[in-house]
Amino acid sequence: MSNNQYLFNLGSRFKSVASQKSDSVAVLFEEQKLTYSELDRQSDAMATYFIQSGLKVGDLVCISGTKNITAVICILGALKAGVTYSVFDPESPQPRLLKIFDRCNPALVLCENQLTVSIPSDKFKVADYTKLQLPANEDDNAAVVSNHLKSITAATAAYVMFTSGSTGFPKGATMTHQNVLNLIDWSIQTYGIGAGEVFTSVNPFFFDNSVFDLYSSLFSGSTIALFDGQAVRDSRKLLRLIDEFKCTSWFSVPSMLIYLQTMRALNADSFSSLKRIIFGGEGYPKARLVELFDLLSHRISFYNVYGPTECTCICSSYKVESNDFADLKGFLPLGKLAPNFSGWIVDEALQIVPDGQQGELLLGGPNVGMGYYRDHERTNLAFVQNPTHSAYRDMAYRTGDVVLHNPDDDKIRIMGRADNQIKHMGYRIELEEIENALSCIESVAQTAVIHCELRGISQIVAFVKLKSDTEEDEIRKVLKGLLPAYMIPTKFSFVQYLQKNANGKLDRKQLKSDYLGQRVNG
Amino acid sequence: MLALKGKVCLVTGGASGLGLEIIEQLLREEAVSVIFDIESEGFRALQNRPDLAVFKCDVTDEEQVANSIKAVTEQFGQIDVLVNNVGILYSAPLISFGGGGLKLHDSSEWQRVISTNLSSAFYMTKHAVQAMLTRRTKGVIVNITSISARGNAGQSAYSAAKAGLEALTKVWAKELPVFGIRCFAVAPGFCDTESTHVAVNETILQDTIKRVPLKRLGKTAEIAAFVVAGIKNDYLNGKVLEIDGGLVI
Ligand SMILES: NC(=O)c1ccc[n+]([C@@H]2O[C@H](COP(=O)([O-])OP(=O)(O)OC[C@H]3O[C@@H](n4cnc5c(N)ncnc54)[C@H](O)[C@@H]3O)[C@@H](O)[C@H]2O)c1
Repeated sequence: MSNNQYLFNLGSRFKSVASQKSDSVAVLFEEQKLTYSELDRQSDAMATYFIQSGLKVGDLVCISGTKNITAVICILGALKAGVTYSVFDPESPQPRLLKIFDRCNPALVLCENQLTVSIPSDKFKVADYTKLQLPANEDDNAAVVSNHLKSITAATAAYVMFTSGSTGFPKGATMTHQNVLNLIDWSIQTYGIGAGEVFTSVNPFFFDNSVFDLYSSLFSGSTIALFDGQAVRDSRKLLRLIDEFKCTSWFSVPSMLIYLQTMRALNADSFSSLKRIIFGGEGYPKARLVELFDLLSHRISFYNVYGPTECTCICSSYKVESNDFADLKGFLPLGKLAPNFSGWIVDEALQIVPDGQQGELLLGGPNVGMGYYRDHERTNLAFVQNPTHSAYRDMAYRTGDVVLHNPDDDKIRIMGRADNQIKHMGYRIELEEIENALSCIESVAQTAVIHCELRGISQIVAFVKLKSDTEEDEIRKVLKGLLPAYMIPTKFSFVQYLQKNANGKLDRKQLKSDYLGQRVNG
Repeated sequence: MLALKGKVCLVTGGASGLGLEIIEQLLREEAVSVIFDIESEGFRALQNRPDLAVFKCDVTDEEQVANSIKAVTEQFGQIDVLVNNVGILYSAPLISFGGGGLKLHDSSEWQRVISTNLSSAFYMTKHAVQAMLTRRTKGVIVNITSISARGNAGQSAYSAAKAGLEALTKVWAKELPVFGIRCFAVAPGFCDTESTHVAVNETILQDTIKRVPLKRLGKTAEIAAFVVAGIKNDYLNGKVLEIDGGLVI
């Protein structure tokens, strides 16, 4: 694909793909279609707009809007201008959004409808991206961009992806153009992405799984089919469109596939053009997965992927085989790490543990990101020196995932977490962030939030001791103003007192085992 | 015994309290679990659950009921079990003295309680049974009543509605078996749910607990387990099963 050109940033890489695939369809969304040449031209205009608005390489642009073609153009425009982008959930509570904006000080905030987001324009430069006056002269735009691309290096930050943080403040994982270029090449090779591929984009752009959808498709000359939140919820329509668009590749959290299973929307004829189903972000309970596997595996390959946001979201891909279902308990293994990743299993002192012992997974190599945006303290905690040497600076990321390598089958399995971070519907959540939010509520005296799996389905349970009578719905309403929807507890349990352990700390373990015990015995 | 795996079970008012607990226990039996409820924050949160089908339906509105049942049958092909669980607790004496005068039981509250606790089950069952017949499914109807059906002082509307629902249980237990459908009711005593704490004042609640031989409120998990056991038991029909820690003996 590279024609021996030295394509060291994503803008150049995209332009190269677009020139070879100019008439192919790049993006599908509802009734709209955009070819590569159209997408190239429109994102050139967007990049030129950024450049002419005074945005410099490395400046941050925050994008908040629903999923549509314009959002894709904004992202590509940002990449071509060397502007780092970060996408936000337009439905995210405003206080949380503003807290993030305050920290990362964006040069520009692009949103779809200023009213719904109502960003204070005295503090931030805000624009409605559907109403931008983009520079119209295509040749001029192309010239501006091609000249500008020279100043973007592989080390320029491509995007910042925010995830929940334990102090109540989200962390912005920062990834470079090089990180993403590596992901693209790995993905093309691993999945044998060839002509005529159509990728589903069912993950929202503010969610890290979308990184795979966007980059594996538009940077390999394939088509991306966008589905917004509404389309994804209407299971029958979604499946019909996936067939109509002749989608070949699906990637989502297991929850989304489980939802399709729950709604009995899938049958032996579903996903008629699909070649592969990739899932990741959380475990897929084998007992549910086997139903899907039995239905479709004769014509569709299944892959279980794993990887943290801090390392381009995928670092291992495991091809599911029928003998994985010899027993139906628990979840699949992770499989081997992808090439160009190094991994070590370490103890608390970051010393490598003997093979066959469990420990925290450390990831190294060129896909490890740059750390957290404007957050040195937390970057230094999570990004550490490669434990095998101290000869030069060589950073590794502490995933916090406790894993076990089984020397007999050479597979890595996730055993749990080293902290209170959880995965809920694929979203990474620090339980403390939910506790922090609950503590802001006047009537809440004390609270402990736990995470558990019931029949393989993730649940967040908040134990709350109240100061004064308040209804659950009231608490949910207040929380909605403080946390994104996926962080609001599934269940509330109002208690008279909260169990503490011997050290006087909240005993989450005990709370969890009591809760699960009740479920099982009750 | 009825194996619930893959059976489509519809619970009204399943977004909270006892209904949600019944749903959780049905899920444990690998049933396809469907909720009808009205909009609330809790309801919205459930819409994110991948293991549930959640339909917005005000069961006091027959048109909504008919449309939602149609949507369920289109989606899942059938309905096997219906649990009429929606209910609102309302307490008011027929006549009381207070605030310097005579106060009469509000008639609009009467209508509201009758419509939510009794008419809703009539609409739901009518349309669900029709769906069962067209698809030739052997079905089960469960009505959640209350020990108040025996006639609780201060609960004209609630007691009447629940007694009415118990009467419907017996009618349907006689009418529906020819179609392979059976019907029973579960009448809980006082349970430790949010709605109990909201609707019953704390001193009255403490007094009630003293009168329960087991000296505590029931847990929703205990009531739900009883409901699920009843659904699975093919010989259960026409009975009102009271589960109240021995409060009424
Ligand atoms: N909690 C108890 O102690 C107790 C005791 C005896 C009987 N019951 C009965 O058990 C049943 C469940 O009670 P609960 O305590 O779980 O109540 P709850 O208030 O927690 O739940 C009732 C649910 O019904 C829903 N609902 C109300 N009106 C509706 C409508 N018009 N359409 C659709 N949904 C509607 C509510 O949104 C709610 O989710 C009720 O029939 C109640 O009478 C409860």
